[in-house]
Amino acid sequence: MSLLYVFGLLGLLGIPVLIFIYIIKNKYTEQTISSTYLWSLSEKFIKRRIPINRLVGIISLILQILMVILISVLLAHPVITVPNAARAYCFVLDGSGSMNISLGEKTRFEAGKDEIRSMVRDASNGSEFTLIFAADTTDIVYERLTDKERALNILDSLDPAYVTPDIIETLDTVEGFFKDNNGTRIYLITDKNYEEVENIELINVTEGFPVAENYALTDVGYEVVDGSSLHVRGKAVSYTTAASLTVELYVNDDDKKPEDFVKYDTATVQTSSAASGLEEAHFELTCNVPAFKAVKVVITETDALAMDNEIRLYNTEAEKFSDTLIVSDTPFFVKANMEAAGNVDCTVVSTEEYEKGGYSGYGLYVFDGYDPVDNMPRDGAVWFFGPRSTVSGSNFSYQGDGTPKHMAEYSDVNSSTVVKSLLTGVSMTAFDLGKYSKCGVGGNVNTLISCDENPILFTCTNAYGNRETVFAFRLNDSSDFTMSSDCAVLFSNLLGYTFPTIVTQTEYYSGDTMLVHVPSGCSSIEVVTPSGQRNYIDTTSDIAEYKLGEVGVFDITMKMKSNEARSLRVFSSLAEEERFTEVVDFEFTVRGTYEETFFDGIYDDLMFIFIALAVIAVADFGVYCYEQYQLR
Amino acid sequence: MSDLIIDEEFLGQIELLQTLLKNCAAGAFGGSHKSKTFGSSCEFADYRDYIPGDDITKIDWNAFARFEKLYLKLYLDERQVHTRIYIDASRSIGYGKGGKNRQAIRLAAAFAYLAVCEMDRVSVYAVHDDKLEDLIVDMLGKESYINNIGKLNDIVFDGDSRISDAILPSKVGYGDGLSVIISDFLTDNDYVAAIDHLAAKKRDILCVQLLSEEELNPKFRGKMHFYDCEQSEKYYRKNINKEIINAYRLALEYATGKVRDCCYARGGEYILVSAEDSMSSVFLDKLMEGGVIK
Repeated sequence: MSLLYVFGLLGLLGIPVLIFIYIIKNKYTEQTISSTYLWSLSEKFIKRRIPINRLVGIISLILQILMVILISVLLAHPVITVPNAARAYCFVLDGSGSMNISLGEKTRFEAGKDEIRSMVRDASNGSEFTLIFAADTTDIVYERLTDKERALNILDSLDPAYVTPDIIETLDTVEGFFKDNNGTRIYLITDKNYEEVENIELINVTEGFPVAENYALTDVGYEVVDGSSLHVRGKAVSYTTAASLTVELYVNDDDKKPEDFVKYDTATVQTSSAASGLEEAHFELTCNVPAFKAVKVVITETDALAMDNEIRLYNTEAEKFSDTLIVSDTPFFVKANMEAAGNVDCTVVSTEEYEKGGYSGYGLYVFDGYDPVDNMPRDGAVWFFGPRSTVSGSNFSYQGDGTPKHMAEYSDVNSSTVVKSLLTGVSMTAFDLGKYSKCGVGGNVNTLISCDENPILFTCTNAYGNRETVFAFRLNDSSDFTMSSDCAVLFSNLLGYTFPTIVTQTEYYSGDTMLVHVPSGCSSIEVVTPSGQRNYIDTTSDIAEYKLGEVGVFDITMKMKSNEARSLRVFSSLAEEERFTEVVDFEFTVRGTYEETFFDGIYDDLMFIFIALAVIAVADFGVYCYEQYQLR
Repeated sequence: MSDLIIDEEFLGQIELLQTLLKNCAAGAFGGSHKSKTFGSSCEFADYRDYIPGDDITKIDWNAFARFEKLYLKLYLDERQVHTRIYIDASRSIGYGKGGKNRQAIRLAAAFAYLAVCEMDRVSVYAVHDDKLEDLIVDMLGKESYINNIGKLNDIVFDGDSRISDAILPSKVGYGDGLSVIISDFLTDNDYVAAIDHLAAKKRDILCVQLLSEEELNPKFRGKMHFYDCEQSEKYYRKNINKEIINAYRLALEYATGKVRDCCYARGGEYILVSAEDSMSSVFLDKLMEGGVIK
C-alpha cells in the first residue's frame, strides 16, 4: 500500500489536540455545597451500573479519534496494489451511421456505449483503457488511460457519425495499436456481424433485439413540366420486410421562411422485392406551383431510423447577374460567342462611346481591342481581348506583341481545381494563332492556354476583388480557335466561372464533399450544420470544398464585401449503406498474437472509508444524544 | 448577620399567624400538653382576645368597660410547660444561598412565639459541636419575647453539630413540654440518642428537618466535584446524570424517612420544611395537616 498524499497524515496531529480538548472539556466543576451527605448516600441507591454510562465520555473520544484517523487516511489517499488484478482493454467503437438506428429506448450507439461503460466499471482499478472511434475518420480517442471516470466522461461526449467508416483505416489503426500492445484485449462494439474475427472480441449491440423496421427514400428528383407542373419522383425502400408506405409531398416558396412547407400531394405505395434485393416501390407526386424554393418528401410511417424518411430538394436556379457590356469597335466574334455560350444579356458600345463615361452596374465588362488603362470598372467581372496596354488594377502587365512560333496549347488539367473545372468538356486541341500580346502575370493566375510559354488565356482576380479573364489575343486573329467546338465550351465554362453557380448540387449523402464556387467580392461563407455548428469555408480560392458530415439541412450564408448577403441550403441524406438494419461483413481480423497479460491492480476507492467515517460520525452523535439524555 | 431576621415585620407576620392558628385550631399548640397551660390558679398571667366558645366567666368585664372589647383573663397553671427549641447551628445550615439559617431562625422564633402566646416558658438553644449555647432561657410572656427574641439574629452557624452529645448532658426537664429540634439531619452524627433521651424524659418531641431547595431538587448536571462545607476532606465527584439524580432522590427519601421514622417510633412529630417555605405554609399546612397542631 502506498499513500498518494503523505502530507495528509499530518491530520493525525488532530489527535493530541482532540485529547487536549477532551481533557479541558471533561474537567470537573468544583463546588462547595452545604453537605455531601445525600450525594454520598446516593451511591447506595444506584440500581444498576450500566458500563456505557461510565464509558460514554471515553467512547466519544475513541470515536472522534477514529474519525480523525480516517480523515487523515482520506487526505493521504491510500492506494493498495494488488498483483495481477488488472489488464488492458481496447474498445473499438463503431460510429457509423447505422449506429443511429433505434433499439427501442436507445440507439445502437448508446447501447454500445453502455457495453463499454459496463466493462470499464467492472474492470479492476489500475486497468488501462484505450478507445478507438471509427467514424468519419478512425481516431484513437484515448490510449492506455487508467482514470475510469475520465474514460467514461470522454466516452459520453462521443456521437455517431452519419457515414460509413473506412474499414481499412480502422483495421490499420487497430493493428497499429495491437502491434505495440499485444497483451491488450480488443473489443469491437458494432451493429455488424462479422463472419470472421481474429484477436478481437466482437460485441454486437443488436443481439437480443428484434430486427428493426427501417424505411427510406432514395433517388428522389424533380422536374418542372410546362413551367408550372412540378413532378417529384423517387423510390420508397423497406430494408426489412415488405410494407405499405405513405409518401407526402411538401413545397416551400418563401425564401424568408424556409421551414414553411405546404402539403400538396400524398401517395401510398406497396413495396415489393426488387433487383437490389430490397423491398422497393416507385412513387410520383405532382403539384401545380408557379415557383418553388424547395420540396420536401416524407415517409409518414414510424421506423427505427427517422432521419432517412425525409428528403429535401432545393431549386438551384440561382439568380444570376448576367448583364454584360461589350466595349468594342468590332464586336461580332465576341458577342456571337457569348450569346451562343449562355444566357447573357449583352449591350455593345463603341470605345468612343465608352470613353465618354457613365457605364456601370454590369455584371461583366468585356473590353475587345480596347484597354481602360486608368478607368477599369470596379463593380463587375472583366474580360480582356487582345490587351495592348497595362491596365491599372488588373493582374497582368502588357509586355509587347508576340508572334507565335508554335501552336497554342492547353495547360495540364491537373494543375489546379479551377483549371480542371474550366477545361471540363474541352477537347484541348492545339490551334494556330496569328499574333498575341505578351502578358506578365501576378500570383494566383490560372493559365488555360499558352503559346511559346506565354499565357494567352488565363483567369485571375483583379485588384478590386473581381474575376478577370484575359484572352491575350483577339478572336478575329485566330479563326481556327473561333471555329472550333472548344471555343464554345470554353466560353460557356468561362461564363460559368464569371457568373458562378455557388453550388451545382443541393442534395448529397452524408460524407460527400460539397464544392462551393466562391463568387467575386465574397468576404465570407458560413455553413450552419443541422446540429447548429457554425463553420466557415475558405474563400481565398475560387472553388472551396466542404465535407458534409451530418444529415439534414445545411444553411449556407455568403457575405459580400458590399455587405450584401446571399443564403442557400443543401440537404444531406444518410449514406445509403448505413440504412441497412442488418449488415454482415466478411472479416475483421487483426494480425498478431494475443498474449494475455495482467498487471498490478490498484485499489484507491475511498468510498469504504467515507462509509466508515459516516458510520462513526452517526455513532458519535448517538453517544452524544445518549449523554444529553442522561444529563436531562 | 448583615440583616436582621427577626424584625418588626416578621413579628407582625407571626402575630397574624398566631391569630390564624387560633381561628383554625380548636386547641392549643402542641396538643400533647397533659395540663392546661392557663389554669385556674390565682396567679394572673395575661389577657387574650375572647373567642366564641371561651368560658364567659373568665371575661374581664373591667377591661371590657374600659376598652369596649372582650378580653379573657388568663391565669398560670400550676404545671407550667417549658418549650425548648434546639437550633442546629452547624455550618451546613448556614452555608450557601439556600437560606436554611434564615428559615431555621424564623421557625424557632415562630415556635417560641406560639409557645409564649400559650404562656409556656420558652428556651432556645444553638447546637455548636457538642455544646448547647443558651440563646434565650426561660422566656415568659410577650414582653419578654419582644425583648429577647432578637438574640436569634446573633447565631453564628459554623462548625459541626453533634446533637446527641449536646442535648444529653443538658437539662431538658421531665414531662413538662415540647422539645423542638431544627436541623437538616444530614449527618452521620448520632441524633437518635437525643430523641431517645427526650422521649425518656416524657418530653413532646418535634423534629423539623430543614432542607434547601437545592437539596430537595438538585439542578446540578454534568461532571461535578462537590466539597462538603463542614469537612473539607469529604467530597463527592461524579458525572451527575439521570441515573445519579434518581439515586439521589432515593437517598433523600431514605434520609428524611429515617428521621421521620425515628420520631414517629418515639411518639414524636416530624415535618420536612424547605428553606423557601413560608411560615404560613409550614404552620397552616404542614403542621396542621401532619396533626402536630390540632
